[in-house]
Amino acid sequence: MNTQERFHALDAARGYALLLGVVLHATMSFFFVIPAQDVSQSTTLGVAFYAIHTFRMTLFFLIAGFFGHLLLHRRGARGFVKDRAKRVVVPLTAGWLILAPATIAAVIWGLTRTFPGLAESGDSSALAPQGFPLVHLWFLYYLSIFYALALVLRAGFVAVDKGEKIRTRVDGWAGGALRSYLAPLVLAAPTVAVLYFKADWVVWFGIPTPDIGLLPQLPALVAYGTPFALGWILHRQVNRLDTLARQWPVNLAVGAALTAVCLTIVGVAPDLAAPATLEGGAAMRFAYTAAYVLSIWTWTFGLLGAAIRFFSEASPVRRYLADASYWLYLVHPPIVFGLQVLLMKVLLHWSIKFPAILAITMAVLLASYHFLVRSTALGELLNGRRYPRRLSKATDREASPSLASAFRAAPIENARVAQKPDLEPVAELLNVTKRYGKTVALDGLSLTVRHGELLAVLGPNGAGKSTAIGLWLGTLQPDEGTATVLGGSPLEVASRLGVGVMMQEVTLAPMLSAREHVALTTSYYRDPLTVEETLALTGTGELAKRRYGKLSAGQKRQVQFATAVCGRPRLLFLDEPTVGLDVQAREAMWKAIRALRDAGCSIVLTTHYLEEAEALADRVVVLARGRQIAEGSVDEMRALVTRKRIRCASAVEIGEIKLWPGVVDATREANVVHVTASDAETVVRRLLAADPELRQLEVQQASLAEAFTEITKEAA
Amino acid sequence: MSTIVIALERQPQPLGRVLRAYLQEARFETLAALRTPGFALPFIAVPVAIYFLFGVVIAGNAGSGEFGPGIANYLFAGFAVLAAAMPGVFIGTVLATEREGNLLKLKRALPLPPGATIVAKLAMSTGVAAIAVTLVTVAALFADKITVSLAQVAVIWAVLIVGTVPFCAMGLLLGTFGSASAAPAWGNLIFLPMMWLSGLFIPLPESLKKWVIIWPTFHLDQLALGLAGVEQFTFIPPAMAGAVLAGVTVLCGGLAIRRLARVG
Repeated sequence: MNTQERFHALDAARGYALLLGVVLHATMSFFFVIPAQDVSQSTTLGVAFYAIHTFRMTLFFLIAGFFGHLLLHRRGARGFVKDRAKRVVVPLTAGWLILAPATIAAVIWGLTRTFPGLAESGDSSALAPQGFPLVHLWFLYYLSIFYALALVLRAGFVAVDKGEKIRTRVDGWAGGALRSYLAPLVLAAPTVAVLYFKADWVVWFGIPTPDIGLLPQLPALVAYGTPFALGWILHRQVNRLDTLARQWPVNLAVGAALTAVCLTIVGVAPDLAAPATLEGGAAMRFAYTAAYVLSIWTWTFGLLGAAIRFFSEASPVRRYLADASYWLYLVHPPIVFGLQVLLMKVLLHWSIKFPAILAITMAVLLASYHFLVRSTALGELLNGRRYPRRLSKATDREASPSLASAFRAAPIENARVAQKPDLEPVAELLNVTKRYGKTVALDGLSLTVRHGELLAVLGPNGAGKSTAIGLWLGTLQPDEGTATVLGGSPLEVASRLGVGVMMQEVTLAPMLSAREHVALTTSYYRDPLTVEETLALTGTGELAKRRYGKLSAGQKRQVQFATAVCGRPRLLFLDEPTVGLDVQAREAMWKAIRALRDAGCSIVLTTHYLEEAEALADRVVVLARGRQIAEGSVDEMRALVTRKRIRCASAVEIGEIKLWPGVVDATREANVVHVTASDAETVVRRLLAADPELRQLEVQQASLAEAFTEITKEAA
Repeated sequence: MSTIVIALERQPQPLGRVLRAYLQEARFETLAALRTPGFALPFIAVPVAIYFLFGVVIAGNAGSGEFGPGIANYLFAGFAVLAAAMPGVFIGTVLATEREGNLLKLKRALPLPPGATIVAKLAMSTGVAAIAVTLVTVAALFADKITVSLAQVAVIWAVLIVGTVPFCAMGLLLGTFGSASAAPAWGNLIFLPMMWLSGLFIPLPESLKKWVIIWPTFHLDQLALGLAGVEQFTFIPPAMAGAVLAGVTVLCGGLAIRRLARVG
């Protein structure tokens, strides 16, 4: 796994950790009194809160430490401070001015509706915020503290640890601890100590949220400073993350089990009367504290590992959500709390209200992000970049009557073709073996498709042609060896974006028209032809409105051809494309195929019609029994056809004949000599001169079909 | 530089195009289903027709029976559950046909986002079910026998629409087994007993009553009635019904996806 892939995963995990915060806050009115107490209370949501609350901020701070170290190394100390000031300190201050009053107002509104007595008694002191209300923005405040501490500590280390000996040793310890599953124990120790001795610790709510004062709180400093420091160290040795990627099932299982244990001890709902006590004395208190903090770390490692394992591929959806998550998390509390208060007395079950609150919040937040943040200065401030409002569309292409010019109209594609006259492989099979039960369909086959060529794959039934194509398309998996398409695995969507395909024996949806089939298929591709262009270029305009199910077999193949080319593929697979076509339709399809190749598209064609290969192919490969038995240009293949077979009864020595120019091969059966010759006339003259007794002379022309049958037999 | 050429090619699709692919897939799936007379028509027309016949005309005087006038609410919910479940279970027929026609294989070779095929089927059957449930609901409101409030009807309606998902999962699983010609038979083999034996609209003998809990339709009915607060006919807690349906979805959906990855 490369570093970039790990970054994708971490970015996604950080985004989801923030989004889980929205979920977390949305559960609160269904089991707690802040921001409001809903009429429909839910233990399920209480437990969900408990579990999410266990790990989400630890996960966040770990990734923040990781990216903090990355930023410092990319930008230097000055750049680091500038960037953090812009993206953390500014949102903290500006956000506080706007968001804190709205959030607090929503909470007060909720409390007055939950405890109407309070408002009536005029005792507003109970509702007044205590200390300096940081609200949910506390995490930015603590991040700023950690960044400052990290800079100071690092300066100290650099001064003292000149040969990096200490740092190398710390890296070694961290790696060892991670590999042995002992890391959670070590990392948990400081937080366990702090919480165990904190007499007023509200046990059910885990790490005390430091949201009511500017004076740094020890539990939060220790509990969130540890993951921040670990993240910082991990970026020095990113390969360690792969250890976590392997351990994720164990870590998650242990985390879930520990949470179950904790809930058994503390109860599934918070005890509001005596929040800081646990039954069972000091031993039970220690057991609970240890189990809780261990569960924090195992959950964090499990989720981080799972993210690296499953979210490493670049994904536009995850990328968008990760970008959006910061804004979403910053502004969600007034909306979530407001909705909770609004719905608290509506007589509906929580399983309706809770999803409704989440759905409305997310819709409002995503819309606000998309239209107010993503491509504005606000987005640049929060995410460091401003996205263009709209991705450039390829609609300025003029609809053109010829396939070749439609392909040329894609400027990037064309530039690439111009740059790449050499024969770079666009698809490759490397030592591929594929078995079906005991039958070996492909036997160590290696096959390359070069840039811009039309490769015809020929061979008798069962030779392995369709299996080879299936491996390239990703519908089959090799038992041994590898298949690559456009530089990647055929199983990745990114590889297939450049691939068009026409399979054998496919039934498309009979109730859709040809035009609808093309429209559907174009929607899969990045920069497809328009439907009109596709229909015009493949000559299927007349079929456009007819239902696919009512077309003849040949017309169906034409529609399938149109869907194969509509995505402007760089690589096109055509499996027996002209079966069932009349002569005219076949000629038209050939013309279109040639035009595609001329426009730089690489094509793999399988066919039973040898004249089709002769008419189209730059190169021909013959397969038999899963192996390649002949390969060459069409001219070279034609040379096979110009060979003639000479048969005669003669006493001339075989060894002598083999040395004659123009002789490809010679064999003897009793007194009959078989000679394969590329220049039959000269050989016959020489035979007659060498043996005046020669009898029963026969000369035969070998057809391409015969040539293939012949070499196929030889291979067998 | 060949690496740069390939790097350019291999950028993932922008989000807008991914969403568009999902939408188009769902749109054409639905269009094809609505144009297939053997699929959409029975599922849209049959529930409202039999609701009208059995739930309104024949059971017109059932209000004087042991359950009182509230029975009309129970019958409405029962027939609406039937309307919600049918398209999902029989989606297996569509899937089996596509599997046999190599269409799923073709789609695996094309760059459509993984999951788009299944999401499209889900959207299609939910759409067809939505039409069918809406028709039953409108019929119930016009027949004017039900005693629940409009808000409760709305809750029942919404729960049933979401409740098509577990039946879709069952249908998908059925569709991964067997041939296209056998798929309708399998669908009926599951659907008919489920419809009659879950006690949604005909009284069951005592011996069968305790077995209603094995049918997902019973749980969807309970979930809808429970969440709408129709206490007279809430026999099990909605949370339990919801959990059963979630379990059916995860189990059948998971198995179907697993099988599709191998046989599709």
